[in-house]
Amino acid sequence: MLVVQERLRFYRESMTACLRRQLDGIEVGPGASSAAELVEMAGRNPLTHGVIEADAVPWDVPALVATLHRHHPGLQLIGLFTSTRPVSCDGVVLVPRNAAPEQIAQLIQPGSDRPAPFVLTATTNSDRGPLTAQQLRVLALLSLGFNGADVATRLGLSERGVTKSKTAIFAKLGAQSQAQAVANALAAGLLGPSSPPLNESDPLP
Amino acid sequence: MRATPYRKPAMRAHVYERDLPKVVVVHEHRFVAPGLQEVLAGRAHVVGDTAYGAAALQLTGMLTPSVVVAGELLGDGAIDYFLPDMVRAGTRVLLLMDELPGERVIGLVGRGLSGACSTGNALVEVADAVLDVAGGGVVLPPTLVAGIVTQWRSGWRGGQERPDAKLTLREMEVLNAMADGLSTKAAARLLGVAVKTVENHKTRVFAKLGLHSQAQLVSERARGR
Repeated sequence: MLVVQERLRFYRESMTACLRRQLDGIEVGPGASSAAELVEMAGRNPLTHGVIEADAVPWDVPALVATLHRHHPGLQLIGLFTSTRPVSCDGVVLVPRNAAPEQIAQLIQPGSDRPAPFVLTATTNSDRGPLTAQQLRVLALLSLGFNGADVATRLGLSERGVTKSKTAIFAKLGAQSQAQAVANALAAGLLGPSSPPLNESDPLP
Repeated sequence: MRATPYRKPAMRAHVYERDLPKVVVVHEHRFVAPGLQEVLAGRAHVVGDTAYGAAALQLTGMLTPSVVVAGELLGDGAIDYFLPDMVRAGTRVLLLMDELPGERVIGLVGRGLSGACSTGNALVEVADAVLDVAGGGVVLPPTLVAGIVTQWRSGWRGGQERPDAKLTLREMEVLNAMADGLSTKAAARLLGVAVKTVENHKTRVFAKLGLHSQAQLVSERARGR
């Protein structure tokens, strides 16, 4: 049985629904919202796979992993993360949270021929200039008027992490202040609709 | 398609059945679109999926969806930057947020947002909200509805400056300098006044316009407000 642990219900149920569709012959149980719930489920079910949150959680991830492995020695765990510093520990494969469900399913059930459910894809000029995705998130929130503490809470970072991110953003954009950084980013087309358009797109079939 | 693993392609358009409301998803997480499609099956069709606001605008133009389901932070900036163009294109937008801060949601509703849904909600609840918005409805948490009604009764008009936002000529000058991203010191030099004076003006202007930071002012000005 596979269980998804994720605190936000919409994400938990979306992921569960996607994996249920993708996986063949593996039962996908109802999700768990917390570590405690997951452990409780592991005690009652023959757990073989788990997808867990691997960053910014209020519990000790390595301790959770150790507990789960005590119950089910062969358990395969996938840890999803957004931040640049996920909790890494033995027995957990770390995967970015924006991975496609097919990619996660591929890790759990390798080799099966898994057609992507889409008919048209297009690539973009996804080189967003000098900023990393996380730095862009920080800058986007700052440009909406959130302060450092708000940004930290929203992105699951420490305030120090936000400060460090800001320093890097300022250096990259040649800015001395938040306002200047936003002004420079807007001028460079890094924020908003003036950003570089798609450079390639396949016609509809 | 790029070979880089785990990078979401700019956009995808999906095969869809006729006569069902069309949904475009713009969200940084790739399981959102297929997850919604699972529960919407037979009632609506997710026709496009992207992580970028610019690509979402293109998809909106190409596919004329009834509703765009959007995340707050996209691959190329926050939803705030793309909302006006989506609304102008005649698409209704439902925002998915981890939290629903009242003031922020109400501000976005004033700029044309049709609904906001918490990611703490069940998948089926979000799916129902998508259908409601696709059908022309507005979906908001009840607590926010109360706030909006209160604001409406007191004469609030979405998207306009607050009634007390009459600026003096000097304040306007300071505002313009600030909107260009100038530092207080640089603004003082430009206007030929003391730094302290600029600081005082700045505080008053921000209070009048309900701004939280100069960074916000810069981005709001760039968005034509």
